[in-house]
Amino acid sequence: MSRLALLAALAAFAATSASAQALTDSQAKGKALFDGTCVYCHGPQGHATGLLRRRLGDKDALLAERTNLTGPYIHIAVRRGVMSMPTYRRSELSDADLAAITDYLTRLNPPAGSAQQ
Amino acid sequence: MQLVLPPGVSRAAFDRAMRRFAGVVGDKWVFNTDDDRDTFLDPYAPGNAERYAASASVAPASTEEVQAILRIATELKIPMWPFGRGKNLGYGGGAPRVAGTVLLDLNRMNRILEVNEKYGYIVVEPGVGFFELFDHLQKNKIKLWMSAPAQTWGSVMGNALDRGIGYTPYGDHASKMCGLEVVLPTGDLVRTGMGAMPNSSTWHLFRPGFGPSWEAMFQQSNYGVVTKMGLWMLPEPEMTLGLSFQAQKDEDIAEMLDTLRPLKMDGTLLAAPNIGNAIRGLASRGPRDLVWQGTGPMPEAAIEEARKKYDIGRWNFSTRLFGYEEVVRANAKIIKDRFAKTSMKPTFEESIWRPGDPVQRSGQAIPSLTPLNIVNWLGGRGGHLTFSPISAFSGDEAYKQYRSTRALYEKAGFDYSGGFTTGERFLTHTSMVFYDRTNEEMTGRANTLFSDLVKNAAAMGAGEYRTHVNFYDEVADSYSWNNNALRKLNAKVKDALDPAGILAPGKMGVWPKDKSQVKKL
Repeated sequence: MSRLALLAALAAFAATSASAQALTDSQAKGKALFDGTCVYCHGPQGHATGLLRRRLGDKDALLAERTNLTGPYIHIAVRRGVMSMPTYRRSELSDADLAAITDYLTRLNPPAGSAQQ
Repeated sequence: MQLVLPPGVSRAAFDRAMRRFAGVVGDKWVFNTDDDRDTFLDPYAPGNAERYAASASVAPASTEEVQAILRIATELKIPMWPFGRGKNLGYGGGAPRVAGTVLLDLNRMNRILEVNEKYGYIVVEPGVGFFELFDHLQKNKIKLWMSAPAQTWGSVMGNALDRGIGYTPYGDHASKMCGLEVVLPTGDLVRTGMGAMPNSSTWHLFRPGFGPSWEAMFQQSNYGVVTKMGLWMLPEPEMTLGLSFQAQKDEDIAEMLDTLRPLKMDGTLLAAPNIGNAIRGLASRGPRDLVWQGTGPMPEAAIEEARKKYDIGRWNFSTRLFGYEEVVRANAKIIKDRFAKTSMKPTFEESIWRPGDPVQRSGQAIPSLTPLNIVNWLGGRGGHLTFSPISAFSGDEAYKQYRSTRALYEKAGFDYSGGFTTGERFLTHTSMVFYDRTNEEMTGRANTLFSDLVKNAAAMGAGEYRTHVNFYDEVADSYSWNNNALRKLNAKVKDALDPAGILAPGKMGVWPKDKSQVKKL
């Protein structure tokens, strides 16, 4: 699937998702970066989504829908790689960019102090 | 990871270099923390990636900044390793040959400088990726088609300079390069071919120019940093027609290749065909434990059961014809008639694309990272080494090479995942060693296997055309005719162009006069 078609599919998916909600500026920036970078492997059709589904189940397959990712974990995954995922250097994904992606991927987490599912 | 200094460079000299580099590009674009060094490591390292870890990275934004950096590096004798995107996965990523080398990260130089539809070429900087180029062509409805390798995270220029391949008639990417701008290791700037003329109107139209032609010298080399590249692009054809079939017997590969040879030589088939074995087909679908849960190489019976379950051939052939409908139809008939006379008598599946049909069916390169999924074949933290010897376009030779290659894989405890593609007069036999990077015993076996594969192919007269950082010298050693005459010539040119020996020392087995940096990996 082409990048443009993929992005369109992702946008459609997000629009219909029950978890779609208003995003803060930082989360919106993070979403744009996620959709332009991470989505090739971690979008609904991405092979990493398939691998995560197999390892963790449906609930935790799509990163953009996760409720249990943490900033430190995302940092390690991006800067050191995880499983077959290669690293991203700061020249291609700055610390500010990574912070925005983290804001986006942790937006659905339960508030700090609340009981985890 | 902690800082490893370049060989022979003191901490004070290194820090001075970092300050001088920052003076060129700004503090923001010099990367020198332990966290940064983790990101520089070969992501698919077959073993300990710290053996060839970079010390730092500097990311220029212009040709002038590249010149200034290389002048400083020459003055201070700091080894530099240039890359466009650093995604040459399976070949070392962006990692250097010599531990402590500073990366020259050209990712920020990512402008598409020209798209010339009239003459069918583009001019790009090193940081332009396949995704960005494809988007640009699509968004602007430019009727030029991109060729790309299977995994398209990398740089358009980097792939062409590394002699990468694709599957359109323009799939021999290095051969479509026309007109380079190059910063030499000393910081001098040259343009190749017609680009040497001030105000040339044909820099990207006629490669040779006047006198010696230097373009190929900058491919797979450490003689300069290419900052601009002209690349010919395929004009959108009137139609494309895909042909694919499955062969059901191992030995069919010989007849398949012998049938293809005259069709490639006379131009009936312009694009490179893609021929993959059953394991390659299975690996593209997911980890091995989906189809088999044993250890060691999959037994024949398990391969047969799995491939039949997923409707995969023993060998899976696909290619595509591009051009005017009358010509495409005529050539498709010739190809099918030739194969009808073989013992395979294949039933071809056809797919047709015409302008207006979905781009996914066209046969032009569609960027994707899905092919990376194959590295998960054995589970764990997947990685791969690619072994790609070039051999004569002969079915008999190919079959013998396939059998001996596969035997080595299986003796080492690995599955043979491989296949062939072809040029006009040669075969590229590509196979991949998959491993779990966290399994030291397995990566040890993978390294030993790779060395054995290089020796085995060389004994049959076949040589690697491209390899992982770890194996540069081993492969270069196999090009040893007349007492290593070619390596000696390469070294002479290196010393002439790079007297300080700072640019990518050891790349492709080409070392500068000062061998103090040579270390066995």
